[in-house]
Amino acid sequence: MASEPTYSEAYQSGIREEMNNNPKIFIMGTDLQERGGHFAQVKGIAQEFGGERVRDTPISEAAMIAAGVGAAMYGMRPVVDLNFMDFALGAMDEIINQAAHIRYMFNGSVPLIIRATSGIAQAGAHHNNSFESFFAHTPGLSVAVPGTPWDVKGLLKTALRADDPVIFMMHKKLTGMRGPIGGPEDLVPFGKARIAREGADATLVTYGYTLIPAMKAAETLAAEGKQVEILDLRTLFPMDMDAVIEAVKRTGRMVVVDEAPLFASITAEIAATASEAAFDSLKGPIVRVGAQRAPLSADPGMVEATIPSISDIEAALRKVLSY
Amino acid sequence: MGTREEMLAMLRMMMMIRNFEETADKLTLRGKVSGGMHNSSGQEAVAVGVMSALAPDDVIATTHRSHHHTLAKGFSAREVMAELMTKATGVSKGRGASMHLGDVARGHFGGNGIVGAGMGIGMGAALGIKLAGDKKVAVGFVGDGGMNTGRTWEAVNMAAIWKLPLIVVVDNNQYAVETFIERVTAGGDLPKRASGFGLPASTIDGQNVLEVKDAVAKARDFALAGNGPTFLNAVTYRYYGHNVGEKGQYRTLEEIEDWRTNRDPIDQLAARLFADGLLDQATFDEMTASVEAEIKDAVEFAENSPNPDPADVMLNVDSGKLRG
Amino acid sequence: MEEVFIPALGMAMEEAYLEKWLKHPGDAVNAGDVIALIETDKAQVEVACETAGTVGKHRFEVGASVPVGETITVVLAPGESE
Repeated sequence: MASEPTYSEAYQSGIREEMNNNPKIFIMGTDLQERGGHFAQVKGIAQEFGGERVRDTPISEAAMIAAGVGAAMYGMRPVVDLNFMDFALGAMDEIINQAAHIRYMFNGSVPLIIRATSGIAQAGAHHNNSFESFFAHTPGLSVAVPGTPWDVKGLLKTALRADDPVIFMMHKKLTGMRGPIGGPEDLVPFGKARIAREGADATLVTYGYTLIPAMKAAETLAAEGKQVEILDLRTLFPMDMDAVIEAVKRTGRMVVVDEAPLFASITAEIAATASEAAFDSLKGPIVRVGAQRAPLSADPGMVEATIPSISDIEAALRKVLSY
Repeated sequence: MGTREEMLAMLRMMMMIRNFEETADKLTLRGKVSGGMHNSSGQEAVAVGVMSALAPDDVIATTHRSHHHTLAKGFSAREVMAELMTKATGVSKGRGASMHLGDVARGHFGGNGIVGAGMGIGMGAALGIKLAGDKKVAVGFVGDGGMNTGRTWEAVNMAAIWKLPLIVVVDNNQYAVETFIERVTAGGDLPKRASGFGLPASTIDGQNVLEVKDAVAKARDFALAGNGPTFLNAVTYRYYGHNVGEKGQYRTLEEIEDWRTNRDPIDQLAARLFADGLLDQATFDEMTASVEAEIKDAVEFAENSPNPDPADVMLNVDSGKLRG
Repeated sequence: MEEVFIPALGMAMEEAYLEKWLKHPGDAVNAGDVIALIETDKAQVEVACETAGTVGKHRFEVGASVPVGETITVVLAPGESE
């Protein structure tokens, strides 16, 4: 039996199927045609669909997004591939002021996907920012953070059939992750969390790569006799707050984890909202785990010291289990 | 040139824009225009010249100073005035006011609060046109201030490499807010800058509506033939401050008076039409009266229109399709 | 009759401080004469009239905070009254 596809191949599969279905979809970004993108996310797609629909751009982030915005307003369905999410900073006006706000004022829609690889790995401060919270914070934008090949494909298909600007964040360290993917009509809805692990004693809420250390921590706790439920958010806006609140009511103990700086992060939003909505069900405070508020060092030891470790997650779980 | 009817239509449109702007300026001072406005008086020939050369379904994307472009594109004085007063009957349903006039469905991809951003969107629209295989062009307006922001040249480069059907029109009133362009523009020659990207680029008289129309018509043909973008630096002048109420010391009253007296776009076209026997005093007076009536009606319409319903704050933030 | 009013001069301006009256009821004025000095959040501003005539009643005292758009006095043409 052939091995399961990777996270990148899941993306290729989704984009290929949708491009076959809808001639308005096209991709543009740097180094897509030959290289297939920095993460092989569109490898072979240009050979299949040609240079008009897989466009190599200059390194001009503002113009790349502006081209996407204008073409989307005109009725096309562009996917702008920034390779690294950090490069969005060169186009923040185009993303926030333009893409996100046009529908509200100008009687038109902006069906634009902005795909990039995000999350923390190696290579230092300029390629390892965590921008989830400020994209989710911006009215008009939706944010997808798939943590499995299945969700990459299914969320991408949903985004390509909707009418809104979507920030599609794929984690660097998941690039080679293998797993099953769905067929042509297996769409994954936005705003629906997934229970990645069942457990009755506490709930851990996370997304993206952090699912992996979270799962390991849960296994350690299982060996100690405590079953931890893991909730994978899959999208940060819209966010499945109902699922979070139901989990609080179910287990009464919650840990929220991601690898962004803890201060003013997505985890704060979840903890605050869940506490307000289900305070009476909580046996103790919701505990958040995140990164220190420091730029990412290029040194592996420094990186480890900046972002949450498995033992940090275990410690947080033990804390809520002690209530 | 054009037929007599076309020439008179251009003259009337410029007169209408002038009256609109001067009326709106007063209403703004009186506190009736939320967020203020940017008056385009003096720059009418750029807007009217461009639109006269476009087809109705060509696309425009523009700047923070866009009343003239919007009116010349065919939007009514009523709906533009209503938008200035943030009324539900306005171009942008009262959500945009002076700086954010736009209606995608009618080929107006928006005014813009960010310098240079509208031109980039125009470039994107041109990409959309090309990919859809449509026979249209997009015009991206940008001001002289936008000549010194990086995104402008990123967009020009992209339009050039992809031969997009884009016409970049610099609505060059020579002052970036209060900063004279020559003080802040290295090299001093905008078409020379643009031609470095390998596209036709020239300076045109932005006070001469016929010259503007002619240049844009050529650029449009050039684009429709698949040759790509053109850069037009239309030199013009604004009679009022950057924003309403501004009384800066950065230019002399003599300079303003010289442009008003000797280079006014409306006076120039009217004089030419009189000289050519295409316009007589009775017709001119009739046009003046009809413009006054139109703007008076627009103000009444706007004042009597409702504001947007606050219950609709969350309407159209997004399509809702991703929220289930 | 021309209404002389507090002009809206900025996106955050809601009112102005009436600093000084330079013309008084019954004074004859020409177009462009400064009627009053006001202070906005940004600067001292001269409020001038656009027509010639006679100044009417002061509708606010010095020291008042006057909302944007509010008439502070009028300029009467010959034969007009308030």
